[in-house]
Amino acid sequence: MVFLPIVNVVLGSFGLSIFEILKGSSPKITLRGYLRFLNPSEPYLQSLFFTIYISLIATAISIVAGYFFAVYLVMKGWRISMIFTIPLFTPYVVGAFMWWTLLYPRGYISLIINGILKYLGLIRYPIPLVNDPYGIGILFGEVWIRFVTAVMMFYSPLQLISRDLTDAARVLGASTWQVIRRVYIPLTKYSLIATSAIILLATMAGVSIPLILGGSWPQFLNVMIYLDVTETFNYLSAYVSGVFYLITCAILGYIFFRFAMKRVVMQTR
Amino acid sequence: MTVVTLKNLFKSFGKVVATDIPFLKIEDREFFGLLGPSGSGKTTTLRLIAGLTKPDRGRIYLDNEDITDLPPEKRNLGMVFQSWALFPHLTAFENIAFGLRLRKLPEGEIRRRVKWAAEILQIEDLLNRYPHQLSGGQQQRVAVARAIVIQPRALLFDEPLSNLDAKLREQVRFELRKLQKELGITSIYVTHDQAEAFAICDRIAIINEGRIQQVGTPEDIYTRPANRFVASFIGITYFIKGELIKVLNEKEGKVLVSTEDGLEIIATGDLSKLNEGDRVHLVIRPDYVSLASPSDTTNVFEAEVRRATYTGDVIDYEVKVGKWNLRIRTSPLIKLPPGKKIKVKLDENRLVALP
Amino acid sequence: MREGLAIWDIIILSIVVIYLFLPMVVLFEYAFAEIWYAYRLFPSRIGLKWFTWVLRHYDTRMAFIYSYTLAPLTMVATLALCIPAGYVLGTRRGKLSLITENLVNMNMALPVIVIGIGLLPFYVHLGLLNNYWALVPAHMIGAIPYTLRCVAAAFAQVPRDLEEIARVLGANRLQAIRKVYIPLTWRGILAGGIFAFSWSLNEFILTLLLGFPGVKTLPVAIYEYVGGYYLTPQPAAALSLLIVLPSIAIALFLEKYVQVSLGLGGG
Repeated sequence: MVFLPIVNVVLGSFGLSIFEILKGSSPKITLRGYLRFLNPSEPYLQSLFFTIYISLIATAISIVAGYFFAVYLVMKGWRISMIFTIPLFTPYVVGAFMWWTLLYPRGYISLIINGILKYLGLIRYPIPLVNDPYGIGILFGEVWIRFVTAVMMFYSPLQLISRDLTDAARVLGASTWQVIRRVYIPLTKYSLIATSAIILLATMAGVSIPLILGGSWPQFLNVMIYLDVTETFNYLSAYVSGVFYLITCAILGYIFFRFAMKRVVMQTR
Repeated sequence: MTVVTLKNLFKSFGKVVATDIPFLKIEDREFFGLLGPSGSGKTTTLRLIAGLTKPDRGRIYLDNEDITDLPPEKRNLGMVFQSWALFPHLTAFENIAFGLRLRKLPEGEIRRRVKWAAEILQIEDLLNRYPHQLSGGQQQRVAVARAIVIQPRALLFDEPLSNLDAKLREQVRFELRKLQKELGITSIYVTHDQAEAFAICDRIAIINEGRIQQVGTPEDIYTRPANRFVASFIGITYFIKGELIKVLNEKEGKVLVSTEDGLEIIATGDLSKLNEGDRVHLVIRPDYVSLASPSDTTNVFEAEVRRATYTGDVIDYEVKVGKWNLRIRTSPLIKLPPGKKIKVKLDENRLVALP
Repeated sequence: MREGLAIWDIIILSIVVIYLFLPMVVLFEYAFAEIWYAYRLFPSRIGLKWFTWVLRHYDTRMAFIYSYTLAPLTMVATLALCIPAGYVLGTRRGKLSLITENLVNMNMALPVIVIGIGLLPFYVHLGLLNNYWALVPAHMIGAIPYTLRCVAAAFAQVPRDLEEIARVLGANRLQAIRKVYIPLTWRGILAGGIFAFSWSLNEFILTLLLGFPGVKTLPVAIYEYVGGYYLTPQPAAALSLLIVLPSIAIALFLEKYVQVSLGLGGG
């Protein structure tokens, strides 16, 4: 079910179509799509970099904030209540749309942030926080959801670390930061890597958030794909972009599985 | 010089009182035991001293310094946990060096000190191994080495031997004492094992339900228990209930106790707590009971042999005196058949009368 | 260190809570705002106008119906596939199960849009565009990895001896499943099913591509009011609540009465 579409995409990127092959007409392979994609004056490369770049930032923020918050919860001995997971219950479209209303020039967050910046004298005119060329809107939306995922994924392995270990470290002279650095992080290394990969993948693959919160340019690659298919009917470019997407995600997925499998092996020892 | 002093220390969890100590002073270089049943609050008290738990009230002093508000990482104490709490991702060397690295000592100094500690604990060739590659006994030594290498002001032990098998425990406990005496570090040792505490501690505090029942040397506690709890917690104990009818000798604390079945027994007691007419409990241990010899005149009673248990090195007899069942131990050469009537002597110097 | 709330804690928790809940608050605001002038900070009048509007309006009413019928269908279809598959994966630890597991995991790593554009030609050629039933397999694609994981894990937790004992005592395989496995695994299966339900409810991009132009689910309808150049937040907010509130209700119900804990996702 999944295999066929991928085959289709790969073939399509070369200008081939399964159906025409089946019908018996001679295939015409073309590299036009690839040339176009890799052409620096075309938007595709920029879009790919923008996608990776923003996803990396969103992942980094979510991981760091999520990890520290999870550590905070574990050190306090609190559990995660279900209320906390409400962002996960909202469909991405809804979440994205809500952040749009918060970030557009008359939205609450926009008013607060621009108000503070203006008060501090840092800006003269309010800056756009959504549909903007820096991807700020996308970041707000993505981090909102990924943060919760990160906390939930870090909480279990962190909580498994025996209190004795952190007590022992404290008595030996470790401050809170040193306990994190020398006990928690080394013992949750693989979880950190695996979760980062998962979140990065999810951020790159999501389309609703960049679609609604992103600006007209630069845009995420999958939004470009969507536009190519629905507005300009440029299937060739869409397929090529799809192939590049697949490659990027496959690489990331490989990294994830290598480290996740390693963790499984370590735990069974 | 490190003297540990606790003043008005109080900690409760909800309705349960874990620690309620008006005053306790542990002397410099002392190997001090906190002994009590499970749940008596001894671990909580230790954690209060370490700073891992905050007291509700009270102050803790190291020498004259009030450390109550200091976080644990600033108190410079050494602690050995029941589970040893070795860092699984570090080698033995790095585990021991952990505290030294936090103090940012130069690499050479760290190596020197770790070597020193490893030598004392006899684990020099194990330094490159990870905790899961070490036996229980070896892990325990690493834990101790890690605690002493930082040259702490005092050492805290939380039942460090309870995860070892019995034979190893006996051997290691003496090594710990020897180590402590060599290093001269004030040490506080929490355990529920009475034999262990008695074997290695200079002084012991018996704790029950958060409160100290008695503080003293092992001998004090055994021969002059302060109350019924201490008496029954330590050693094998029986109680004979009676009424203190007369004080026989004020200086020696000798009293005459009469039981309801008419026995009149001489015992020793703390006269500041006892008066004529009080109901008392007599603490009797098997070693206080012996076969009466012809020269015994006081505290000799008729007894009937009930049951004999042969344990190899002694014979343990259950005898009935009046309506009380007592135990007496004799050498295996003395064979007494059940039903035989004998005379037993209760040692009035050791029998303790408690309110 | 462990008891009580210092001022720091209150600040941190407040920031986190506000950050997480602000969008929800705004969602409610818009959904219940009958009149809200652009220059004002808060609505001037609140009421249920938009909810009734949404349910009266044909497009959105159909979207509501489509969403809440596709979701159970997806759930049933996914479970029908995943229960036997999960049984095999969970109870045997052979090479096949490892391979299958990895394949399924890889499915999670793929961007859905790519699958969407790959499926599009098939749907076009088979005339399945704008087809309600054809959306079910599309929804299943995303749901299967997670549901399979859930169900397989549930089966894996049952000690192997139990099935063997049941067989020794005379049960055939079907009876073994019914009497041994189902009572022990129904929670995991339910969790997997709920996940599939939720996934289908939240699924957006595939439905957008393949259901065009006639079959729209709630997320697609919401997008129509929100994406693009014509933005009317109020009906979108009302529609959103029609997804969000039941989801929360289901989750709370499950947690309370069935003790199933879920880490759900979106689309």
